[in-house]
Amino acid sequence: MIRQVLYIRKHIRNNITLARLLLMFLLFPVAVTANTLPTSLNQTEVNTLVKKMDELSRFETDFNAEIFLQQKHREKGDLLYKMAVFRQDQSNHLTMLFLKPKTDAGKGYLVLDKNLFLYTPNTGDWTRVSEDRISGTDTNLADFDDWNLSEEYSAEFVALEKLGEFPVYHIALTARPGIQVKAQRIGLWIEPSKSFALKVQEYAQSGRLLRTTYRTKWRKVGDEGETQRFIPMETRIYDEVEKGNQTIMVIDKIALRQLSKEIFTKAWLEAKSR
Amino acid sequence: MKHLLRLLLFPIFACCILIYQAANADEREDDLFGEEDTTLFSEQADSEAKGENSSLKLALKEALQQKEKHLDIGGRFYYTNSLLIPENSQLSDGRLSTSGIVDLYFDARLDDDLRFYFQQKLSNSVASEKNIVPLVLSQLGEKNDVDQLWIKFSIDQGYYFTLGKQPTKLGTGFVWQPTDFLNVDRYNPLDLTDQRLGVNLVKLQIPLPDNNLNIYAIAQLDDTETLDEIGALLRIEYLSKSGEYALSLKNSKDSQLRLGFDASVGFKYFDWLISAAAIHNDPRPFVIEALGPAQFLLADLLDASQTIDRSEEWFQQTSTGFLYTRTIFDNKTLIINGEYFYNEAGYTNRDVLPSIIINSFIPGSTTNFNPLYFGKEYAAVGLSINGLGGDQDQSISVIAISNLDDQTGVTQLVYRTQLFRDLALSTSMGWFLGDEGVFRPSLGETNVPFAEDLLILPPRFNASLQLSLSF
Repeated sequence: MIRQVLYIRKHIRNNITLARLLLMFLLFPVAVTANTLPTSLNQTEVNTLVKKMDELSRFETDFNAEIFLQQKHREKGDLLYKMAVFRQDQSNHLTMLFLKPKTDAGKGYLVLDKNLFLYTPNTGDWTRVSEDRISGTDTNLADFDDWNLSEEYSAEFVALEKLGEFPVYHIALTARPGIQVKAQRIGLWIEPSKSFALKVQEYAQSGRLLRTTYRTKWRKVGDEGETQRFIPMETRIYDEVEKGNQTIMVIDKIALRQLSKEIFTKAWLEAKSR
Repeated sequence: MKHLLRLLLFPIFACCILIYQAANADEREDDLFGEEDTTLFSEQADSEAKGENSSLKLALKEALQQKEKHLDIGGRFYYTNSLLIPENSQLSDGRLSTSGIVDLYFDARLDDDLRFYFQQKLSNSVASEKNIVPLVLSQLGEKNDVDQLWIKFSIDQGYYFTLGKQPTKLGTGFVWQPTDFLNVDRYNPLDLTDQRLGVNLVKLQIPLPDNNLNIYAIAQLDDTETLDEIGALLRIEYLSKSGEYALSLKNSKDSQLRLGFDASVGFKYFDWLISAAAIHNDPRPFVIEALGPAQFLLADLLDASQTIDRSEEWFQQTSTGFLYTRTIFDNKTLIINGEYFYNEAGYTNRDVLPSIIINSFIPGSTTNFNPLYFGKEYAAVGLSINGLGGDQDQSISVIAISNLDDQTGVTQLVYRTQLFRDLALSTSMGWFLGDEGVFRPSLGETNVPFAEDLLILPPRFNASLQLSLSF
């Protein structure tokens, strides 16, 4: 009986050792990957990474989505909108249409190359606008558009850091001289395997932190065999100047498919508007 | 022989149908049952059988929701208090007026491409404003009126129609819009909100995105009784990479012809805007003789000897300006704009001003007084800072407009904020400056009996407070 117990113990001990070995073997690639992430990137690698992020933000196919936008105001309560976004990166066109609430339904933005038009249904007025902050929220049109970081900014590697449990590359961007951009400096925390920015911080020229953005719940969108892209289904934007204000952007529906050219016209937006 | 052929063909045709149907059925069955992990029978027992939230079910649900006819009812309420201090008056003599305006709308979405919209303007003024000479003639006055009443539909996603009374605004200027050929009233940049009513139109819009063109063909039906009185407008807009250009041609009743050109072009640091109009056969008489105070009588319409007919002449009106925007204090936006306006059809002789103001009160008169379009040369400059306050929903703006002919002008300060989520507050204060002239008109001594009660606008000073509420 005692011998039997000893045998079982020895067997278990052996099995545990085996299990440990097996576990180590299984975890080896992960451990090696984490350990093999270079602790720094040279300038060429940084530039390549930023360029890849630009490419990943662009779609070869057209894109349309329905998005909830919630603005949490420190004092005045929450604003909640639903909007439709249509994007055609190849022609550099973007249409945004407010769907809800009814007080804002019909308001729309149309970006055609470098022309930004705002339609005001109450007066039937089309104006080129320069203020692109969207309807009292912390978002602006650039949040819905593709990136052109490699052209507009020079990039510098900061460190390999951890964002929660995830190792990320921290890259600092500084606006190139003579180029007009929304933020003079940007900090990016990039997931190394897929090259997506999970966290973005934007700074003013004075060095003051303006906004922090977290992009989560990434989901693969697109049909098998065609262009498939990871999209952050939830984005949280924190106003760092007025603490307590934040905007949450949740994608309700999204599709990568060819859109009719008419969607990017004044006539179409007017027809959908009030 | 024919009968035999039919006998042979029928089984072949029937076989083809059966084979085709079988192939289709195979595809369908592959789709439905082809996957190994397809669950045919759910083992889970529920007290209520709801069925799976399959993509088909969701798609059907969504399709049904989209087919629902939507009717939105809502509106916006404007509560305005104004104080007007006339020339040579003390603050205590200031005229107060209080008005409440409701824009109540019914918006029916009948289909993706079919809309109906009705908006009624209901107004209630506490103080009577009938004796106030308006700064800019208004259609609204005291009465309640239909603001918008239209249907919209599109054909083949290429032809967009809007039929009925609808808001419209053409042109690029901030203060002067000489190419806005459709609106009955001119835009007043000093108003806290644009309360002009819609215009009766049949509008066809044809976008040609491949050619960067947008074409409007519009029939204007306001004040028309016969076919030849219908106004027709053709407008072609062309979009370049960083600008928009437009050509307009309008022919209205009495053969008045107007040609217009607009451009709004973005440069590296600023936007440049221009609106130029050429007008032929303007029906308004041009006053050449100023009446002496003793000649002002109640029923005195200006007669032919005091005016000249310029209907055979062409006149041009051009406004041009710039818009400069930059971010300041890290997250505020500074906007500076300037504009110059040349009005060839305007007056330089300010002595005729009292005659025109008095005449604009007499029924049947074709003259009217609008200080922004009365003189020949004007300039304006504006400065705004947006994004002020903790919630970045406050703004301050200053605008200064001057008539360069007589050196009179106006300076207005406007502050706007969002008090609550659905309640906005706007306040303004305006000073009218300079000696006697377009922005500081005076009737002088007159025999016209009702003139004593008139408050001639612009006044010396005005202040307004407006609350607007969405519901």
